[in-house]
Amino acid sequence: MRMFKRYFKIYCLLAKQNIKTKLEFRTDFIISSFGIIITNLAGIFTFFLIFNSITNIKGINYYEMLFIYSFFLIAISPQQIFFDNIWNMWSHLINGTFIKYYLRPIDNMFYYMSEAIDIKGISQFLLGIIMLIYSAINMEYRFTIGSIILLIILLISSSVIMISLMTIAAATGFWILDPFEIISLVFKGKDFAKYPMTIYNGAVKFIFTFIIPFGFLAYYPSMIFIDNNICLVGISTPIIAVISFIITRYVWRAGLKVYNPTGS
Amino acid sequence: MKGYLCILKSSLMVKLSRKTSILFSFAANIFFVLIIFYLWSAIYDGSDNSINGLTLEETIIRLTMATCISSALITNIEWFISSDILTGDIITSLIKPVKLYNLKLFEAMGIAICNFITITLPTIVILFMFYNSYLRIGVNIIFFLISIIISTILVFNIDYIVGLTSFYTESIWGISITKNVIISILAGAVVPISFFPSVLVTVVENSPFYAIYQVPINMLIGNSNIQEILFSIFIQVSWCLIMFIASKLFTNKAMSNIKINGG
Repeated sequence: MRMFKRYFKIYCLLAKQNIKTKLEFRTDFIISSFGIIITNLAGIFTFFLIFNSITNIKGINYYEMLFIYSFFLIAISPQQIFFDNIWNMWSHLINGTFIKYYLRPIDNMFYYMSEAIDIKGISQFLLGIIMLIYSAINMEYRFTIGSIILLIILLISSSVIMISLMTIAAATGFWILDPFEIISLVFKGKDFAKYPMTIYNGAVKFIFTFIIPFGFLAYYPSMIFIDNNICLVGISTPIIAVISFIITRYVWRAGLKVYNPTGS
Repeated sequence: MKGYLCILKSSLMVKLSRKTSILFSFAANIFFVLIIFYLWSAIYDGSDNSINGLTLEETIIRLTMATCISSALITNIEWFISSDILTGDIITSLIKPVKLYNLKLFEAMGIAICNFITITLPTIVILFMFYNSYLRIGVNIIFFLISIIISTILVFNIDYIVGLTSFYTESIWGISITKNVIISILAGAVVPISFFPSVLVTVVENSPFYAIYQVPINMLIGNSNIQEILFSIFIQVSWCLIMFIASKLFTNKAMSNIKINGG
């Protein structure tokens, strides 16, 4: 408990510095937040256009689709906000500045990730919450206090899965020095998670369920509320989250041993 | 002119040499194409053969073509321009007897050609292995290539303006992604234009965005006669000129506001 408090205090200190620097460029912040909102509104507009011409996709109607999409937006936001330093891995690994993170008496991965915060991701998070509430109101499901708590647990689990996937992608840098393309590919791959898994054929669905758990980013947890039925797949999202995170820590630690900042 | 062609060639060579980057870009393009295929197959699943006048095959072909053409046209040149402005390197470009606009134009074309060869062409080939009855092969291929070149210049003009906004703001990230998203949607690369409400269809057809993707796509599929082809190329060139003038106007305004850090 004391360790947790200590890490929390350190994080707040680092975050405060970071946010102060970012807010120096106020126009940037506003324009970037605007850009994110436009991008995500465009996604919603896409669904709007599609559902203007049809009633459902594999049994999922417009509001249920929006629910999945907003769940997706909320689930990817924590990674975007708090783990933004992933994108800078190549710079620190190639230039050797990564050695700094070995030398402090706090956890390496924690220290590295807390050096960057992306506050413009907050606008995406808020948009996601607004859309979630909007679509939830228009769905058939009746939300109780219990189901809202379940929803929050599932959202946190999905965020952890997203964080794990991106961090593992970043950790490949310990072996290949420039993980930028891999991180970029995983980031683009997450778009598969916006849509119901039922649209994919068997092999692809298998990959996204058991190998790279994109299905658990939004679809499987959301189906609990759409189908009104605590299905086994959806409810195992927190377990998948824990497993993913353990794998991430393991890969990161293995990478730290392999990485050689001063030599070949 | 010879100098500019050298720039194009060197930009092309640099891009072609980054083989892993090409491989990953190709993979990302495949991701988008797969999503198009699965999503739209599911959308058409519950309905009859055609929605809004398009069959499933036509929709998949149009969206896939738009996606792979966009892989060629998105050169990210606005980031290079922005970087030049922010570091102050732009001063050297302004002193030299070559225009920044021309430099960046040929650099962008080098990148676009690389993307076209490595991503667009393979995707089109694969696409028409599956759907060969939709492709017309003949003189129209030449018009297709001309059309793509005009689209590249058109998109370059837009990118140039976006890059120039660096005179006013430190990071063009927000503007850049907004531009990409708006172009994608309004050019019919995400949802076919037939799906748009009729008001929006009129707006889009009279905007430069329509000229970016739909004109080249119509060259390869569909049954336009020579007059329609020439007319659509004329429209494309007109929009290109309009955006060119816009970029010149914006350049003049931005230059008068020049504010460079450091020596």
